[in-house]
Amino acid sequence: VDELPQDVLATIAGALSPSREDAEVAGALDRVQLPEPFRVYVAILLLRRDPHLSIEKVPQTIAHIRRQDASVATVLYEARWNEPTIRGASALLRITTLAGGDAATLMTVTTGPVWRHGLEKAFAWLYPTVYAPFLRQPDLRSVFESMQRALRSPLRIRLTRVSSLRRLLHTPSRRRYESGLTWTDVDAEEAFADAAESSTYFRSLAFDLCDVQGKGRFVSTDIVGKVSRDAYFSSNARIAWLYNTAVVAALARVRKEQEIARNRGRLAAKGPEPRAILARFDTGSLQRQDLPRIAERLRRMPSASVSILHGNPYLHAAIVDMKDGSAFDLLVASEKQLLIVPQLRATEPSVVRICRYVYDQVGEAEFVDASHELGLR
Amino acid sequence: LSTPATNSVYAELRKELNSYQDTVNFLLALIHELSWDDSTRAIRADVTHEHGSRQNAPGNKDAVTPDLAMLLGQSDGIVGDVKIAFARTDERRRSITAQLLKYDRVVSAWLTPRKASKPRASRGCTVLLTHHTRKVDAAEYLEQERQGGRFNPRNAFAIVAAVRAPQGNTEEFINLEKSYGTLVPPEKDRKLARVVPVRLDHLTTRYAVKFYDAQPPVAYLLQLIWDNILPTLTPEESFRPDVQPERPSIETTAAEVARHLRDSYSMRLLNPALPESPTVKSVSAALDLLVGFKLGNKLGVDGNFRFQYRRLRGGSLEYFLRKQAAVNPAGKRRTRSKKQLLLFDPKAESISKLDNDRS
Repeated sequence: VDELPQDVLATIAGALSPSREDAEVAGALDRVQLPEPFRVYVAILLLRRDPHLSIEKVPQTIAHIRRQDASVATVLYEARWNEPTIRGASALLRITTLAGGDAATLMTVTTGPVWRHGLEKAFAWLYPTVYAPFLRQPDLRSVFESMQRALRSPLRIRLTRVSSLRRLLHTPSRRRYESGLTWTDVDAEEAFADAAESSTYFRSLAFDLCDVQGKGRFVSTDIVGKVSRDAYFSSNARIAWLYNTAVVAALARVRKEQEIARNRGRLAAKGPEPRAILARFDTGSLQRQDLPRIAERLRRMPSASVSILHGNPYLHAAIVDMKDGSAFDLLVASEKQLLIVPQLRATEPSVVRICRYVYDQVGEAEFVDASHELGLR
Repeated sequence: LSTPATNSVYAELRKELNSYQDTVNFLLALIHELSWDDSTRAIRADVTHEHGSRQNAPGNKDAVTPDLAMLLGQSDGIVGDVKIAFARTDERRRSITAQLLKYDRVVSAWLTPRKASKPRASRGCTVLLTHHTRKVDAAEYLEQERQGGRFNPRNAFAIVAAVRAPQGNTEEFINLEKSYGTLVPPEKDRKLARVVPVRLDHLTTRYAVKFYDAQPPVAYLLQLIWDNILPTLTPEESFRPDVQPERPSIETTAAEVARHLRDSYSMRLLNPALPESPTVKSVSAALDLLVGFKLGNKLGVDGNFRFQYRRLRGGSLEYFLRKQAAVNPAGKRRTRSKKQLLLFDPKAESISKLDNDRS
């Protein structure tokens, strides 16, 4: 951050004042145009049990985080291996706990490598106190729609680089995904329509804002940014636009999904009925011949112990999350839905983790409360 | 571990496990169907569940514990048993007949109590729940016995057949069908005369019950204890595989584990007053097995156990099945030793019942 021009730095430091609301901070940062390679990052984090987010606990081997006051901290990240370019890079960090204390937004000015290697790893270390939400493909789509809607013609969002994964559930290949990194110059809408046809989901999308000139010629305005399905957003300018569209839209989605994850454990719920979650697939996603592959994928779930109680013609698996001892039963006894049945302990981070794994491995699903959906309550 | 002989033992254990799960689901499906009110499209609120509880009746020497025992309001009493693989030998068939007659006396006692107490129901029936493929054998045998005067229940009697029925691509149903006799209440008799499909999804969403009155397969119970009970007995923070250098250490007692099993997975979910099954003694035997697998130790004589919790290779169920297959003599047909694991109250005749099922 020291490399930033003095006036830019002063504006940022002033803007990140803890007494301000997120939207105000975004407004104050709106006119700043950051030089390469800096970006303003905004991330949505889900919190559990620790509304104040003890980021100082992160070991210094991952990132050196020093808190300046209640909401602003400095991050110092030093690459341990031969990455001299990012040694000494640092970022100003602002964390705002949202109402309810179970989610927070984070704003910081930093570079891509510090974000990826320092901050993302720091938050991964803080799991399950801090856990990342995930944006499903339709969520990402609505994020882009809201971003585009707020733009005045002739500005358009052009995707410049798309990182995607295609699920290979219906093919006999041993591979689970086909990963793709494409440098494109397509319109966001077009990219989402293409992905929907091939069971592909996006991990991150880099965009730039273009001026559409005569004859449909796109000319970049040098405003670039990125949207990730891990619910973080970055841009080098027009922060207020990014915040008020993308972040606000994503936050609404994330809060809805977080609601689904709440109070699922039967020990906590004190009720005799399981509080199942239903993953609903739009199209006939689950074929009988896919069941062995789904079972195989579940078995490979990281930090989990998976037992197959029944394999064919329906699938019944028992999953223990070795990260906190949560347990789930998973049942595929229907073409269009998969049941996630939480057992005695089912923490929110763990429910999100299971849902995310199912989403990634099995298919484009929407997660809803099962008893409500099946008309049992 | 993968010699062909052990594999056949393994395959048999898997089969036993599936059969047990099916039986639980069949029983739940029938309980669900009988509790279901078709006019309000909801579960009746006035159902009394007594599955697995001890029932006395005049004429019966000892108390019996029917797998299925329920009262629908004050009018209908249903007592029944599950014999998924209806016996193939005459000796065992005779014992089933005798058992059904005992249940018939329980129904009679519900309808016309000896003392001045109020009748518990005005109509009643005895039910035999069996697999679809065994319904004709069961009906033929019981009809023959009826004509021979050896099977003459005083109340209505019905055979209900159940089968898992995949439909379409992955849709899984349990089909219930009254294949013989008469059932109460009459509207259920009419309904079940045709096949009634119950969606497995719906059962799983509604009922957490994982075992019924009969002794569950060892690996199934161990899996349930290892995956679902033990991890909840230690704080979440003791996991964190990336941060904590040590495996979670879980100290517990058989009584605590048994309590969780009963409260969370037994028929007690339907009625908390049902007897305590599985018993502490049987859970203690299961925990001893875990100690035998070197997954923990027994602490002194006070009955405490300490387990080093870890992920078991291939998943816990696979691990326990393989362990079990390895200790069983390879090549021989596995006989179910009565001493093998007294997981449930031996008095509850569940062992002999299982032997019947297994025939």
